[in-house]
Amino acid sequence: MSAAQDNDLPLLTVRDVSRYYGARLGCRDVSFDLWPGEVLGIVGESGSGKSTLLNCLSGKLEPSGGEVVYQTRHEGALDVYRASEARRRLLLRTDWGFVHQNPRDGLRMAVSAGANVGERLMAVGDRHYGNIRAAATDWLGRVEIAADRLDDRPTAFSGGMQQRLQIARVLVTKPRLVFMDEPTGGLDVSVQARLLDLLRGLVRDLGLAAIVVTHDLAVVRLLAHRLLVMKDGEVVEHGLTDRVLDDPQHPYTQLLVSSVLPA
Amino acid sequence: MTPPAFPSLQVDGLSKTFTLHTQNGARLPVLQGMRFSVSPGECLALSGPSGIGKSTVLRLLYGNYGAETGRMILRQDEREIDLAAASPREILRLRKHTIGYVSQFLRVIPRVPTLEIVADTLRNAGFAGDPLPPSKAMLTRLRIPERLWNLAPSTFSGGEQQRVNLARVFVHPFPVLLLDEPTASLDAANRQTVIELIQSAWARGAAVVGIFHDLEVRDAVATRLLDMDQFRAAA
Ligand SMILES: Nc1ncnc2c1ncn2[C@@H]1O[C@H](COP(=O)(O)OP(=O)(O)OP(=O)(O)O)[C@@H](O)[C@H]1O
Ligand SMILES: [Mg+2]
Repeated sequence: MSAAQDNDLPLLTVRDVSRYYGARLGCRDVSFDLWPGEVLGIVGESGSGKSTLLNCLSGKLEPSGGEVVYQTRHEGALDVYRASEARRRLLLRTDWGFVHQNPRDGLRMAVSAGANVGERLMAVGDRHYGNIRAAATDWLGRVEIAADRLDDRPTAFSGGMQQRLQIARVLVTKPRLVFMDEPTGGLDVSVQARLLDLLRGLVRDLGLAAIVVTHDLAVVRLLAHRLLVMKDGEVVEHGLTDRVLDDPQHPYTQLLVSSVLPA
Repeated sequence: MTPPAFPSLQVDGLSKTFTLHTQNGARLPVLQGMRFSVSPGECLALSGPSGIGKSTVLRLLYGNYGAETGRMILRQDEREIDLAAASPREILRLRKHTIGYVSQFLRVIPRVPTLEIVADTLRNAGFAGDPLPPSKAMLTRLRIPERLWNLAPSTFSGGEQQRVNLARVFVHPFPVLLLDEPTASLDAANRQTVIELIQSAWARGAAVVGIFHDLEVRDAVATRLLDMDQFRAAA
């Protein structure tokens, strides 16, 4: 297994990605590779460019410079911003998933929880009602939403439940790459832990790759293999997660690590 | 049958200084020009007073700290990897298959049950077959009562957590073992079990580097002693 993986191409290749808002810097010269089964964490204080970067990586915000190349399942490498809008949309629907910081941005509030999850399956071609309902129930269970809430609308859910529903909606189609912006922000610690465990299982068993923006160092320690530390739009430190947290080199990373309780 | 290729470690010119930017850039030199090797079937015990850098050496070998200078060559299957220069992916792969590390503290996802924590080591290592029976056997051997197996270890006693930590490393025959005071909070019976586990690890050809404050344990498991005083960095 490891021999085959050695030769695997990166799933996502990011080169010199920069994004300016007029004259203001969003993020600058970010480069990294992401392989299948890898979780990359992005940390930094608010305003450091994390969400700008995540949007650039996930096809939502065209960078001012640089490139994002995705290794497709069957059609070789795809330069995300040189592809057609239609191709990019298809990618977002089939191979990628995006978990928004605010669950309302990722859910359809006017349809039931079950439909929120089932809809994504139908979008990738599943037409069998029984299968869809069974998959929806299964995924709601995995994020600890009781089956008897399947027909409720997300408006009837708490913020934490909405977030779990959003995650189920994204993961049900088994995407290869998931982008997450503060995915566990509104969740209480025990649900957060359950979710982390779920994600770890998917990463290990299905080779799911993920890019996770968070300010929670305890979450990245448990979830991310590698870590990018951002400050003022630039990556100031990048490496193995536990090394960045336990032996930080950059003054900013040291400050970040020392200003929280031990993770 | 080809004989299994056991690993060896060769460390040369290893130095480590911590720079504390949040404390006016204070520099804390710890190791200077450290040099040692460990052959297959050896257990090297690092010795020296508190603060000399014993745990730092293990963390450097595990990739948890970055080396400032020097090489840490791991030789296995006719392959050489410099741990000091290995990529994060390489380090992570080695941690799954090759290098087991028993730290002083258990660090796990909060709600994951004890049995799953132990079984995960085997899953990560690509164990063929059901990982639960060997995991249960190791927990039993380390006297973790069965009623605790389906509980997360966050509420366990210090000694129980330490034994879960040991179980999740010793359940897989790691070719390289790094042990930081593995018997620190254990009673006599469990200490004896850990002695046996370490002895059988090097007896099967593993390369072991450890820190053992308990002299009785050290005498029982170490095949060689390394006095760290000679590598103390000048402050
Ligand atoms: N991440 C770190 N950042 C800054 N200084 C560190 C770090 N880790 C270790 N040190 C310092 O390095 C020195 C060696 O520490 P280390 O933990 O390796 O000692 P030790 O020999 O294992 O001691 P003990 O026997 O007490 O466990 C100490 O001065 C310690 O404060
Ligand atoms: Mg120590």
